[in-house]
Amino acid sequence: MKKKPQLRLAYKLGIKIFLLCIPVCFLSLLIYSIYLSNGIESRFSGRRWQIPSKVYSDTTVLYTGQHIPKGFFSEKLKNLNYHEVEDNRQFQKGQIRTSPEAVDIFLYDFNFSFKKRVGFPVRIRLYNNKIQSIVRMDKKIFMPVLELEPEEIMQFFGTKRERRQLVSINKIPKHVLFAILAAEDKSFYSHFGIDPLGIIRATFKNIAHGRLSQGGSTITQQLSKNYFLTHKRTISRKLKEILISLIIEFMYEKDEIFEIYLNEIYLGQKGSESINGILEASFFYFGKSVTSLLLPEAAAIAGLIKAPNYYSPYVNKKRCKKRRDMVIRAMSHNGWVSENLAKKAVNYPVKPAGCTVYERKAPYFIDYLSNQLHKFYSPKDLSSLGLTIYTTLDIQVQRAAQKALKKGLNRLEKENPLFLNNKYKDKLQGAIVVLSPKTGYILAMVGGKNYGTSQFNRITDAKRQPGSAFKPFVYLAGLNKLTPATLLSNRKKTIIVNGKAWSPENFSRKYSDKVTMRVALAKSLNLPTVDLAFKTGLEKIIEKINLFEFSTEFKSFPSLSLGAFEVIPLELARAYCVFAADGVLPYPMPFKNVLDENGKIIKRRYMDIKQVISSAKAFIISSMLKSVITDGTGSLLKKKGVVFPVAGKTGTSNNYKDAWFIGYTPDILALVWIGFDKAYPINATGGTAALPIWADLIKFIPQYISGTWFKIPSKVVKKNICNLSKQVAGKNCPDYFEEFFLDTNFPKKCTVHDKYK
Amino acid sequence: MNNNLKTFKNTFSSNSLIFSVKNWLYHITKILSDKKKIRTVVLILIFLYGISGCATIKPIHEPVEKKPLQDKTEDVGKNQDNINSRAIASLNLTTHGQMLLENGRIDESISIFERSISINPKNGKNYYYLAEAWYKKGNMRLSKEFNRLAGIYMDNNFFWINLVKKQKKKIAEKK
Repeated sequence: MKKKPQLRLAYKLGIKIFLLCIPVCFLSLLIYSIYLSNGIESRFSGRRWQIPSKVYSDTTVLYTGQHIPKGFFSEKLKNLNYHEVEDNRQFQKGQIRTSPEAVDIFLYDFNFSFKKRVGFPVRIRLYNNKIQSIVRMDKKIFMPVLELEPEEIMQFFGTKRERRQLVSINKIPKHVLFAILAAEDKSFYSHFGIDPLGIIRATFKNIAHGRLSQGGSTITQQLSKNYFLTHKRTISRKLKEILISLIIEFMYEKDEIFEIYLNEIYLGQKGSESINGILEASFFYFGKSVTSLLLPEAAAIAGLIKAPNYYSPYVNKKRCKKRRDMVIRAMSHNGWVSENLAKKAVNYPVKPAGCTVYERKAPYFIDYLSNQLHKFYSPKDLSSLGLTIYTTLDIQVQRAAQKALKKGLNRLEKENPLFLNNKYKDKLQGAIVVLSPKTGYILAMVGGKNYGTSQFNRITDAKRQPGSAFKPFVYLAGLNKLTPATLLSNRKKTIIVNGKAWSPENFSRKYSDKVTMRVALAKSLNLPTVDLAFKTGLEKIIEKINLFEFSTEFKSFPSLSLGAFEVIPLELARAYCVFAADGVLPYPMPFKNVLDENGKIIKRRYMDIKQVISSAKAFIISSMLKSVITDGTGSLLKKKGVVFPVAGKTGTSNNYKDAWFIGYTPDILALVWIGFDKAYPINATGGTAALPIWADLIKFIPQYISGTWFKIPSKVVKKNICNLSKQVAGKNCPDYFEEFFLDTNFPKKCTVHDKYK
Repeated sequence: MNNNLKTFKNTFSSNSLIFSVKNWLYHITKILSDKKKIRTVVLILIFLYGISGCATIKPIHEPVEKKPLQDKTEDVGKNQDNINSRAIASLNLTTHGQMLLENGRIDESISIFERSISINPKNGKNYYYLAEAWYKKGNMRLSKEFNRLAGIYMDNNFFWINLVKKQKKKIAEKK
């Protein structure tokens, strides 16, 4: 009896402790929940995803009368995600119909800050590889100019390499939402974060199987799992997951949770990048936005969630269809879709859009671009802020350059089997840059033979001897005192430089008495160039060259005039732009605009120009460089089928270490360099190694060729020149030819034939 | 009124053309019947023959055997068709840019003009409007550069060259 009160006391104490435990447990659970909810809130309200920045090419302008290379439309439109259709009834955005004489395109919407275009159908008629007309089909009006949207070149991925585009739940059609609910969580809108029945069912199955395999997770649980926790399957994790799900449900509306889920889910793999979110997936699998997904397509995507790479239509169409039909039946079972519609949908074939094989479109250009962008954005910003970068790159020109270079290098290696020999511990390399000379836009950049094996960008980072390709700048400096008709000595002589004898030679080892400046440049003769350099003065030449903003420091050695100082190819190409752009030095531009994730422009680049020489001098140099093509070292160009006027210069450095060709028209300028990184001789000249590559490149892009020549500036005069005296021809001169001069500097009247007057 | 219209139509109908040919023949036979007039007609014919001969008479000097190097400007203008379509497309963009510029949407207009230049670098109006746009943005250095380019490409157009000169003055004053 005595013990009873003790027992009762203990019992009471036990109850007290237990009663105390409950609030303590609740309190600690509450504190833990608050702690978790803080974490959840900071994750949900802040930047939810790391969106990679996207890099786009420039837009493509089409106009009537434009030359279009063969296969242009099929290639371009495929890359822009357009799909060929045959039936005439339903013509929708993103579709094309091609016939021998016309291409019908139903353009996509295009949103680019101030440029907002709602997609419309156009018919482009073609005749003889030329655009005959562009007609807007819905309004039946002619369009003089049409812009095709830019092409995606690449994305700046973070460490996760996730592809994702965001979409608001309001924009997703009902049947897509229903499909996902049917596949993953039928009672999403009625449960409170967890589905007890589902869990019980799963638990039974797990016990039966003896392992944790069945999920039974609700959408909220999947989200909390994906979002916060690792993928280990343990009981404690499961409990934590349930707790987080409950907190999420408490804190957020159902629609909000669903929207985050739709943008979050992993839906497949494209090469090394993961496809995330419903919008990215609908583009990846069906080539259209989620807003225009059909019921069977929506069901197919919904079916993927369980195991994206197992049910992928790209992996196994049959398996995908089976899973898809299951989803459709579940939808119909829940009354979310009529039986009729479900039957139709089940009969619909699985037709994925065809995924475009991932290729690096312009890797060297992208490297150069990222270097430029890193001045403003850190690599982390680029991989997470979801910026859009519009570049100046023209994909067609880029492809042409890559193709031409590959072909040219293969040809050279075939001609010289030695290059593939083990003796050369280096592969023959080449590089191309294409610029729009007036604006400075970089249209294409190939920094080497193969980005996979060598990422060294020979256009922007290499320093090479330009050889004769440097001569135009020397001749430019000479134009103050001399003229294209001035005679220069072509005799061998030895010059003493700093106590050492220097005896330059002509490449051909042929010598004569005297040649005009035009001939000397056209035939790339060394001796007259040295003569010109001495007549002009090396200091004067350096003064002139420094206007072109090379990063090279030039010193007054006579070999300067023969291009002995190494230059960066991009800087050389830029300097040549001056001749092609009325004496204006452009700033080479890789990008035009950077937009934030809302489409607002946050950085703009405009063409920046600076006059460095007069337009008259630029014209005269261009005119002389045209003779290089018509009668000089570049005469092979005509045989290669380039018949329109071109100005250009070949270059071959000492011992054939570098071969160059730089050619331009008023519309486009391209530089080609060929050589070994370790400077082995390539046994070919600029005219034979680099020029054919230039010719191929330019033939691939007829849309850039207008066939026109430069306008003669007002300060340039044309005179008849006596062939004998190289002075302005008078009445008695028997032979004369035409030559251009600066209006301030031209020869006197002929003193040979008119001296008795 | 009606009558007038009818006669107007008649003069241009095919019937009246034959009629006018007959009329001409009549005049010619009338001239030929007059000796004095024949003399003047013959003189005119001889004169015309002389002039036409001048054009085909070979120059005294035979063309040079070995052609010295020269810039053959005749190459230019073969692709007249292509040039025109480019010019039209470029002008279209220029007009669009001009509209944006006038509405104060300067940044947008600049990118349109730049695009227009890349289609046809010889379209001088682009440079003029770019000078205008940069003037409005307060960048006198670029404004001056573009004004100079406008001067180069519009020096044969009296109307435009005046505008360019005015613009040049304006820029110089602000600078």
